[in-house]
Order: sequence, then C-alpha cells, then structure tokens
Amino acid sequence: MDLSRLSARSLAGAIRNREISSREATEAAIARLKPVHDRCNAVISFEDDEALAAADRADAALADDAPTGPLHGVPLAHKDMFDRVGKIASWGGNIQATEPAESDATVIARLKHAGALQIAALHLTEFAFGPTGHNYIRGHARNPWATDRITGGSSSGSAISVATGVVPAALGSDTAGSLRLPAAACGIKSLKGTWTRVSRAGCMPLSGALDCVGPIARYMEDIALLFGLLAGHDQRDGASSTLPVPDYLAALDTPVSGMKIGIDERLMSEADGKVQALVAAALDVLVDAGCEKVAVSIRDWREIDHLTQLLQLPEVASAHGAYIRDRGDDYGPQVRSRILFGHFVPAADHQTAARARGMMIDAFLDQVFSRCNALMLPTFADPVPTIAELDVAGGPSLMAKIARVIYYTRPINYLALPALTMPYPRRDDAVPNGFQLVGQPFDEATLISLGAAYEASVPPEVAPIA
Amino acid sequence: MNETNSAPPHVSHPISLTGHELNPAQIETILSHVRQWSKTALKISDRLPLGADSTDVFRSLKPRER
Repeated sequence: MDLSRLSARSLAGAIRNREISSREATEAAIARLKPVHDRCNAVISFEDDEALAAADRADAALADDAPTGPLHGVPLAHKDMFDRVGKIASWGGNIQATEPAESDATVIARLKHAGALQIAALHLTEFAFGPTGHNYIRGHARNPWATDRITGGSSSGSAISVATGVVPAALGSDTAGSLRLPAAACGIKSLKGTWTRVSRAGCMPLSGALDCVGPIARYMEDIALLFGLLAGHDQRDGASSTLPVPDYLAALDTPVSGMKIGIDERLMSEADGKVQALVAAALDVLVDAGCEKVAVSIRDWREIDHLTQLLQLPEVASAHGAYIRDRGDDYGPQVRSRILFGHFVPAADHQTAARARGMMIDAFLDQVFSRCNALMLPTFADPVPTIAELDVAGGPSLMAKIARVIYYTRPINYLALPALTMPYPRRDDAVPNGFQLVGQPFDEATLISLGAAYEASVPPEVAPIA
Repeated sequence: MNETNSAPPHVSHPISLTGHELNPAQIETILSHVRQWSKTALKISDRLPLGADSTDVFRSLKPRER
C-alpha cells in the first residue's frame, strides 16, 4: 500500500478496517517528512514521540471497538500558527506568545475530535504575512517540484507536506491568498471558505476582517471532508456564521452539466500569456464535463485591491503595534517594512474601506453571479517565480512585486467570497500552477462539485521527495 | 467629487515611528502607495451612501437566489 498516494478518507478507511495501523501510517509519514524537510525547509518542529503516542492510543481505541471519527488515526500536519494545549506556536517568527496555550484552536479541536493526529508544526511565512514562502527568520521554503521556485505562502509547509504525500491534508490560513497560492505552486488543492464560515478562535490573528482558515489537500474528497468538519458556528469566534453546514461530501457527486463558468477576458488579459493558455486548458476540462463558458465583466478590480490594503494594513499594524515598538529588530526586513505601511494609512480611508465593503460585494455579485455559477481566475498572474526573483526583503520594489503575486487573490478576501484552487493540467516537467473557482457567499458546495468533476479528468499527483 | 482629501502630505525630514527612524526616501516610498490607495478611497466614497456601515458586509453575504 503506497500511503503517499492515499487520500485521508481512504487512509482512515484502511485504519478502520485494520489493513494498516495508525502507528504504521504515522511512522511512514514521519519517515517521509525528514527528507522533504531537508530539501524544502517544510518544518518548524518535529513531534515524532507525541504523534506516535497518539497513534498508539488510536490503535488501542480501535482494538477496544471505541467510537471513531472520520479521520481516526490519520496523521496530519499544519502550519505553526494554531493554538494547541501546552504549546507555544512559533507564528513563523522570533516573537511568540509568552505562555503555552490553555486550549486548542477550534479548528485543531475539531480535527482532533474527528480522530486526526499531528506529526509536526510546519513552516509558514513570518506571521503568515507574505504570499511567497520567503521567511527571513526561519529560512525560505523551497518548492518540491523545483527547489529554485517559491512554494507560495504563507501556508508553505502545509502545501509542501501535502504535495509530497507526507500527509494527505493540512490546515492553512488565507488573508490575501495564503491558502490558494501555495496550493497552486505545489500542484494541489485548497478551499478558502466564505469569510466567517470557519472559526478563527485560537488562530494567530493577522487581519480579522479578512482572515480565513481552510483545508489544503490532494483530493477533492478530503477538501470536502475537512471543510465539513471545520465549518460551522463557534461561540469562541463571535463573527462565525450561524448558517447550517451542508453535506459537502454529497456535493462531490452533484452533476455539473449546465453549470456556467464566468470568464472576464479583460481581467484575464492582465495575466502572463502562458497563464492565460493554462486557464484556457483548465476551462476546456470543465467544458468537457458539461459546463458552459460565459462572459462576465468585472468593474473596479484594481479599486477593490486598493480597498483591501486600506482595510488590511492598519489591522496588521495594530495587531503588531506593541511588538514592533519593543522588539522591532526581531522582525525580518520584509514583514517589518510591510507593517510600517499600515501606520501611514489615514484612519478615514481605513473606515471608507470598511464601510464600502457591503456595497462593493453587492455590485460584484450582480456583475458576476447574475450570469454564472462560478468565476474562473488564475491564482498566480505569472508562471511560478523563482525564490531569487522575489528575494526583495524590505527593498523599494517590495510592494509592487507582492502586488503582482496576489493580484488575482487579494481582492477575493475583501469580497469575502469562497475560492477553490485547483491545479492546471500539467505538461511534461513543468512546475505546477493553479486557478481559482470563486463562488457565491456560502456556496462552497458548488465549488466542490466543480472541483470533483475537474479532478475526474486531472487526477492528483505526488511531488518528488528527492 | 468631494474636496476633502485625507491623503498624507509629503515629508521632508526623518521621523521616528514605532522605535525606528525612517528617512525621507523610505517615507516617500510608503506614501507613494498610500496616496494611490487614498485616491481610490476618495473615489469610492463618492458612491457610498451616508448610511453605509462596516456591518453591511454581513447583510451582503446572506445567501440569495440569483
């Protein structure tokens, strides 16, 4: 049994049926993670002993015929920004909480309740504030498909570990593209849900108006399974939605024939020509599955991007105000530079961005979803860049370079909409890349249906570990 | 268009911010971006009803038939 190619759902089934023990699965994941880390810088801290002890408990529970969850005994790993009882998360930087967490982040608690265990705390961009995988404190992450390329960030370690088959799924977060960019660059999938669909309680905050948490996985069935476990109201996150959680696993089998996929040709024309060709190839796959391409026309994309920054940067500056005042030298140059921008944004403009959000969402929904079920956009505007190309630290080109990387992702956070990232059909030895399917508010199920139909023609791949 | 522009002015001397001194070139780099964003805020504010509120986002996100 090649564990590196199994979905979490299949692995859970194999453990439940005693075809493999949780210890065997966990030992295999740990063994695979070591060379992956050596090559790609995927890990903040290994947790072998704790993981194996948890695996033994899972096996003992099975032997006792105790009730089990849908991820019973399955080894996972996540970027190191979630509270876990008794631990201090690194947040990818030099600055952390001073005391160990007294409770698990809600998303961690929900995965634990489902039976999952964790084998390591994984790399992320410093404070999850960067879209490339560069980290000037912990070292840059390297793409497993081509180690001179970026992984995308900030959920870099999660994407590396899933892409290389160490674990079948992982958690990420997304304030401007941090779930979608690493999934795209590493050739896997992620789902950023509607803002407030998944609780942020116990997660390192960056910008509360934009932050989302969600799954990264190789298989759509794991995206559906994990998203269903994570979604739903949480009293610890007052903003979390009280809407009922649909059966996302059922959505895997919903026919997509007749669904309309929106394309904005003018907005698409701003992407690199190679990326435009990849989007066309991916669209062909959905059309072959019975979908229909329709034209949409989006106004104000650049304005929405500006509003996103006016909303986000003062929130980040405020969150880090005390730290950067007292321990500014403990920050890497890129994050420190970007935080400073937030101190210069006029308060009136920050408020305008917050007050205009409802109006801008209404307009966008009318422009796009009056014509289609999902909007298709690139995730990266360009082929996945090299680490060297974007190694700009805090220099004068920083904001322009970052703006290009997140040109197609950041506005979606302001619009608060769900977005699924899927890999393009990959040719020869090309470095992977990916596209987004953006949905209506709280309509993640439609994105899951489309993703499953697409996956039937573009099956998951596993990245090399050496 | 509304004549009130909250965009920050030019700065010709170093300033100390959060314990770090920023020279005029650094400040100008930051302000060149902030001015662009502020222009957008000004343009958008002209379309924004007086009663618009930051909690409108929750109303806009309610699931709806389209």
